Amino acid sequence: MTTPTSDQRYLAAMIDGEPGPGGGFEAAIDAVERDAALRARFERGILIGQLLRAEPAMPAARAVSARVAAALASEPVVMRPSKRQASRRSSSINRSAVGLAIAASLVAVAIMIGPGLMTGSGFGPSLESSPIAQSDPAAVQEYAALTEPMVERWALDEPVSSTALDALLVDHRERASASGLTGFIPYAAVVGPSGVR
Amino acid sequence: MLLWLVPVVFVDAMSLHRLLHQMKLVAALGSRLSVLLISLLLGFLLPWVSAANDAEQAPEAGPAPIALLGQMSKALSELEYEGTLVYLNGHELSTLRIAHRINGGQAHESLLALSGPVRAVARSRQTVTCVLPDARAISVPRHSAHAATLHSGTLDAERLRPHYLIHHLGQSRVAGRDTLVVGIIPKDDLRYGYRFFVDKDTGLPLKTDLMDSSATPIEQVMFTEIEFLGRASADAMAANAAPLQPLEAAVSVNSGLAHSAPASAPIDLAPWSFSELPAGYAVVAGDPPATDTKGTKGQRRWFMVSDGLSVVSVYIEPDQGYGLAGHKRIGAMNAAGRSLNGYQITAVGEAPLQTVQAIAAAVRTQP
Repeated sequence: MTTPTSDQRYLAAMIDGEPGPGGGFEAAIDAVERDAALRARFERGILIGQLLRAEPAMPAARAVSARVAAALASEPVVMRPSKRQASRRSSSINRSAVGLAIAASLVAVAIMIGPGLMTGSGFGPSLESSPIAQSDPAAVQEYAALTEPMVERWALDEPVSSTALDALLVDHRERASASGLTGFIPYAAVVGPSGVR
Repeated sequence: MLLWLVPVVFVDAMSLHRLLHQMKLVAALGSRLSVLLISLLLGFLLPWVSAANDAEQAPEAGPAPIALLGQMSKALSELEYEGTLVYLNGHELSTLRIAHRINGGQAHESLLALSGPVRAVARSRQTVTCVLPDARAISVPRHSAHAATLHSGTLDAERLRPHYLIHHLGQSRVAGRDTLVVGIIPKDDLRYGYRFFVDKDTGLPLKTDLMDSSATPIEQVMFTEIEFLGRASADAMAANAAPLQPLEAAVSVNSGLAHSAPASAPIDLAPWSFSELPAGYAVVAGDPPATDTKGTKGQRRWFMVSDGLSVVSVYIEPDQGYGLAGHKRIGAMNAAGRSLNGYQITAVGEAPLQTVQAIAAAVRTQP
């Protein structure tokens, strides 16, 4: 059994969302930055923590899923002796049950979204049907801006552009904070939003 | 301005002085009825004026707003502390742990989110590293304070005056400590304002509100507990505290709290230019163009557009196909992007969306 290094102890604490021994969690962040192996371990730890806490899946999690899927796709297929002959009758019953389940699902979906499709309004009121839209085009734009959902971490479903924007965000905060006037708020704003929608 | 007032202990003395002065002018011009009304009002207000003057003359009333901002900026760069913050953005509340230390004259800062997904920021000597909610780590190099940016004593009150009001807004308690409240209030919708709750003893802002022109809070950060580590620095701060002085003197005189900044050289924008920036905004800083002409095409350019307080960064880089087209918002931060002649232009800043969009749209290629 190996003794954990101080970096690993800090990392373990930070994965748990704790400041770590003596509050030195910056040491863990530095370690994550300079050590690829630690970074990979950190990402896995964060992912496990998110799953344990039932937090929404993040792009990194999807990336892991994609890697896992790719690995599975490239795995050699193990050929087993066919058991279809023995279970032909049971599989035909299963096939019928699956068909019934699909049909029931389609009926349920039709009931849920049918009225919306018929009226063209979907689940919520459309911009076209709002009184604002009928009055003033300028007000339409304003309405659209007001009703636009706040992006809490730019766009979580677009990892590449999200990362690029986050990098600009951090860079801007760093450059702007040189003023000294905004104090700690720039970085509080970076890590304050949880990114959970 | 009333909307910006906190639950104050003392009435803003300067405002009352100004009000009284205006009333006297009216009285000099007005009719006997006006004089009667003024007298009645004066009779009603005198007790408030007296209380306010007492407060202003009391030692705990603190320095002028501009001097207070200078103290605050100095405290931010000199004090060492640890504490717990709450961050409020819209309906989202987060708890953060902060540690701020000075190492070799340079501020090192780390923030760790104690609620929700793990997020963290560390500013070390060379880099700023952020661990974002999806465990991505983003690092950017640290930048020294640019001469053209705001830095402590370089707060240009004359430049701010057309666009902001700077006022004492009273006193309050934060994290069990007494604070003086100073507001930087925007006069229009093109910029945000701040409300700082500055610790009387140390000058550190214990609460910071970022607000729009209608005094609606956009982001609020507040200490719930704080421990000062750098006692020597705190003592030095107290020993060097600026004396009370009028606003104009606090700005023009380079007191012990103000760091002077040399006048900046003209900013080389080539091959770019900016047209029709929003009122009060100007390009105040920028990365120089690459000296190696071969590398110019691939280099990212950065420019800082500011009105003296609000800051918007403009990034111009070769279009890789995944740049921002349109706009995004995160809390007070707005971003607007567009493509121009094979380059991606992205403006990012703590300014209203219309301002950030206008700045992004103002970028042109020089003829």
